[in-house]
Amino acid sequence: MSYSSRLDPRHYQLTVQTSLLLWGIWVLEFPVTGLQIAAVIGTALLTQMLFCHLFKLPYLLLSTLNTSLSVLLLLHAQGELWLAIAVGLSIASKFLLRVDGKHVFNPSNFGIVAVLLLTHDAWAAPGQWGHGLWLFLLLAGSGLVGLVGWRTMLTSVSFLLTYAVLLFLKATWLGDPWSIPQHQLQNGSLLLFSFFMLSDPKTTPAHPVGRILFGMSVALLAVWLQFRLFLPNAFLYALLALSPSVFLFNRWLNYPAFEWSKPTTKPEETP
Amino acid sequence: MKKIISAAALLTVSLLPTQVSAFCGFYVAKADTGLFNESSQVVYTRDADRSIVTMGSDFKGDVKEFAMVVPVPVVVQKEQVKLVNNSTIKHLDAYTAPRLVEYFDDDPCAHIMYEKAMPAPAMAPKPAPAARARELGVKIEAQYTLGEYDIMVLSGQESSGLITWLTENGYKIPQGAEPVVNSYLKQNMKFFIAKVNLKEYSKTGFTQLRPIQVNYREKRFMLPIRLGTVNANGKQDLFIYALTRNGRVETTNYRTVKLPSDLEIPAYVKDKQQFANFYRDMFRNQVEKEGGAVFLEYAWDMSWCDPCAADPLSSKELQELGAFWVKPETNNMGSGAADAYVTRLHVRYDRETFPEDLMFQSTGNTENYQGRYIIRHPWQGEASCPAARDYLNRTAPKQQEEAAKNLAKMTGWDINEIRKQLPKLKKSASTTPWQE
Repeated sequence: MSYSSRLDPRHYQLTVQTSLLLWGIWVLEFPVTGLQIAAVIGTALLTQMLFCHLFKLPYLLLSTLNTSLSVLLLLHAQGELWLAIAVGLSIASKFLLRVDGKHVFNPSNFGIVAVLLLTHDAWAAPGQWGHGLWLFLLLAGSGLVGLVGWRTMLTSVSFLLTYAVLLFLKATWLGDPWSIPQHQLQNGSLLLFSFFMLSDPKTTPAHPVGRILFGMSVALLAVWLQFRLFLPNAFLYALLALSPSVFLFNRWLNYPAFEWSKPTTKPEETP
Repeated sequence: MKKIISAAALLTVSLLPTQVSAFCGFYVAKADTGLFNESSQVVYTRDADRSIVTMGSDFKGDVKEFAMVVPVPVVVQKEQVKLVNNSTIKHLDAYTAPRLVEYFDDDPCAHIMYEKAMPAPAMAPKPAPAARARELGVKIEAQYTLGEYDIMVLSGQESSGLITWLTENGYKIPQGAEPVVNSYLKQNMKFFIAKVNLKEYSKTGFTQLRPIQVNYREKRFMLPIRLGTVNANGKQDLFIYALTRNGRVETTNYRTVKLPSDLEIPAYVKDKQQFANFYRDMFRNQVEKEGGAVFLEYAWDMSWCDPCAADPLSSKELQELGAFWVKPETNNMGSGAADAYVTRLHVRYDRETFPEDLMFQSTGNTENYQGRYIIRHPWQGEASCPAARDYLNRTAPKQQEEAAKNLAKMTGWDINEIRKQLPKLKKSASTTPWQE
């Protein structure tokens, strides 16, 4: 699959991410400082260049910016250190944690969860978007569907649908009004996660059937973690826990690995 | 029939006119929870999976009428419950309350600007026969008398059985509570119910019911508010004081929003009633603007404050509120307990804007925040230099206008009405070339 002839979805993603970050800082008062932004982007670029140099690969920096923005949007910390560590681990995981020539984890998902587990000084704030932005996020997500096509977005769509069905089933079983699952689904972090993290074709199964099944499993695990173990940010943990199963889906369905553009080197060598 | 004080219950503290010695400066007034009618206060101390929840009551009617029904995630035994002094919660309220401070501008000709400090029962409820409870599918998990309260913890299969049992035992359950009770039961929640034991109450010698504190281990970091929304009595105010070791507490399923702070407002708001009106209207205005948000009123390390609306709580008080990790004071200073962080959240909720219970997380965020409003008294002396003339003719009127605009913007009050209340400022008669 090649996007060389049209707008690269990563540019689109970067535009949406940047707008959200600016909105978050100016309107929603996110505790993000200029120094943190500089530290995250700087660390990401340096780590990427270091590994590209070590592995003798071309310096492809676009997805590095996507990863940086994901970290800035989803993770907060006091100071710069933990954010820099998160993005450093994200980028390093692309080069070091690989199976069948593909990286195992969504980079920002790996970095964010690692830091959440390592320290109390960094936190993800699932409530920070409020419930006013869901329509914008839904539209932005749909824009991505238009850009990359349904097949690429199948993981996101199957995740969201499964998650929604489970929440409505839960509400029905409890006898709760539907305003409760509706409120839970309008959470900005959830939508951001599903459209801009779960849509990463490199770390989700390549085959459409695999994508649908993978999205459903992430939703099932996320609901269980959130409503049984009462874990905030459950979807981040669910994706991390299930990412190692992606290569099983790929082997089982025997489908070629995704590449963002026509490979200049062997596919397995372009993280 | 007893009126139910439901859900996350329940304390109001009256507005205290006390002037606290201003050891850290120029504090003049505070907007404590007494400004809000029928508000509830909960102190939620959380460390890992330990929850210590103190629920106060400002119940002012006949204590025979008092009853409390609160969903709890575990069966709470007698040793997990204690009573807390009302004064401790009042102190926490006063310490964390939004505050008004004032500054005095000085003669610009003196080239110094400094800040001046202001002086700153006989009818004890009959235990219900266990047989009747069983018949209704209600299980009395625990039952005990503690201080002035008779307490029971109930679980059940069906909300209808539980509601029948409660009704038969004199609790007046609001209509429409059944589906909510049912939902809690299915989520494995128990019901903690308390009534006043009049005989024990008369023995205590207290004039006010004491807050009840429950202590349990549970992964869920949440406050049930849904029972409180069943009665369609409009919006209710809830204050949550969260105590942690590390940093701020925020809601994970609603946005936590800082109230506007550190803004100058006109001097006439210093009047106690005016400040109360200001704070109430400012809060109402923000609620209308932000919709279903939880508001941050204070977030601070418990060991200090600046300026102080009240002294920080002592280690003893913090321990009383469940902060078991706080070490006893080693000196006799009486305050300055470190290692506890307080977050004061203010929620105005109803069923439409807050359909779900409040879920929380504690974060590592130790950035201090306080609701602080500033009065600046302009200097009104005789101008003896160009700087003073400029100050009188330009700076002071501009500051006054800015303060009026801030007030109008925050409260939604009419700017023209505000302007009418402003004092007439002195002008310097002599003009200077740069004013023409």
